[in-house]
Amino acid sequence: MNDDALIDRVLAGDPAAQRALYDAHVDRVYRLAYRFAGDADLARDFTQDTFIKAFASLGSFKRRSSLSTWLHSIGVSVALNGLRSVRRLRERETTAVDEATIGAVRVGSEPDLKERLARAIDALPEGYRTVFVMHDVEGYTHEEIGVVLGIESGTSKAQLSRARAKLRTALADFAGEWIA
Amino acid sequence: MNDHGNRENDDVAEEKWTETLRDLARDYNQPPMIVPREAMWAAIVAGQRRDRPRILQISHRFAPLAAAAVIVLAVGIGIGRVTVSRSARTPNTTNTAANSANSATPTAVPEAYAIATTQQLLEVQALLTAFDANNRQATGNADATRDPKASAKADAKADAHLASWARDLLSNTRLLLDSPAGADPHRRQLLEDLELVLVQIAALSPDAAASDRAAIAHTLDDAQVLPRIKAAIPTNQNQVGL
Repeated sequence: MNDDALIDRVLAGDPAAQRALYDAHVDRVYRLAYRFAGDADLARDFTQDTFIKAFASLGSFKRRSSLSTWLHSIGVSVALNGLRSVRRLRERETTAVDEATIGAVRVGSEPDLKERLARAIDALPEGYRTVFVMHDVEGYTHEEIGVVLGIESGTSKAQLSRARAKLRTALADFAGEWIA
Repeated sequence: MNDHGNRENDDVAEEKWTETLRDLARDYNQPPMIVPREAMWAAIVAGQRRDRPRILQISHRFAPLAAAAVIVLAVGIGIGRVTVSRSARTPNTTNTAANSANSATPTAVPEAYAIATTQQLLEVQALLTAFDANNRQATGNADATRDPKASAKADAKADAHLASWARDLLSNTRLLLDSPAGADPHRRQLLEDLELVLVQIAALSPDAAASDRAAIAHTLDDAQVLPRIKAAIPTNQNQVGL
């Protein structure tokens, strides 16, 4: 069944169609939510909220983009808003911790390259991190990212380039490992 | 090596770096192989049910009170903090700046929440009084010789308004239960009883049977909810900065 027919059935109140729509898209939505959150509970919450919002507003979906893109727009928005709330809560709880050390690369403990990279990605500005995760980690195209985030694909390319440059700087002392 | 050669080398290094970066980044926040589909679906279905009644509109009669419930809770905590902070400084005006800063101690927070609780109790009292009046009127309508269809329609509308109002108060009550206000055992017991009553009222459907309303009225009487609320509200409203 194509997306249009599925949407029509969901709007007509068919619960089986709701479940079919969910089954068709949940894995990718959850996967992206997990990549952003890095936490199973948060990823679950974000995915659930995404589908609750999607079903509630499906009637306003104009069908100009694909259903998948529309769902991902909601998913990214839910995840980013959720992470902002989590960050605010954690900041309140950890006022004693120097802000500069949160998510920053800690040279003292010398973790391996992957761990350092993970911390450096966490420390990227939100826009850079979002594009980097979607493009380099999850394999979305710049065109898809542009539609999902509501930006030009050129902006997505520019943000990716800046994200990579920041990561390169953050991991400069590991340069020999990949350039060798 | 000429410039052209250098640029080629740079491009190769850049490509290699990008490729390595992408390889390494695939492990970033690696999702589990198994997606918890069924658990999430169950939560989504429950979430849709929970959200559905929120579509109900609050009537002009109740809207200001319901909106005030949310605002008052937030403002109450704010006023509480200011009141507590001021009263803590008042006895000794010669305190140093450091002592003044200390007046915003953790002990100020429970007092501020106590004030917010009082505000909430006043709101719940208003709702329960409205429910009681509505229930009596519904019972009276059933006995009277008025047009039964018109009476049922009016009751359904009132029930929907009360349910919507109760839902707003319910979320504030739960917030208070999770806050330092819920730490006091007596206050907690009262808030838990209120939560139960509010859940019952919030679940009133527009076509609620008289027995549903009677069950709520019975809970109210049985747990002595209104007298306990009255007892918990300070007699001097100035204490709460009103």
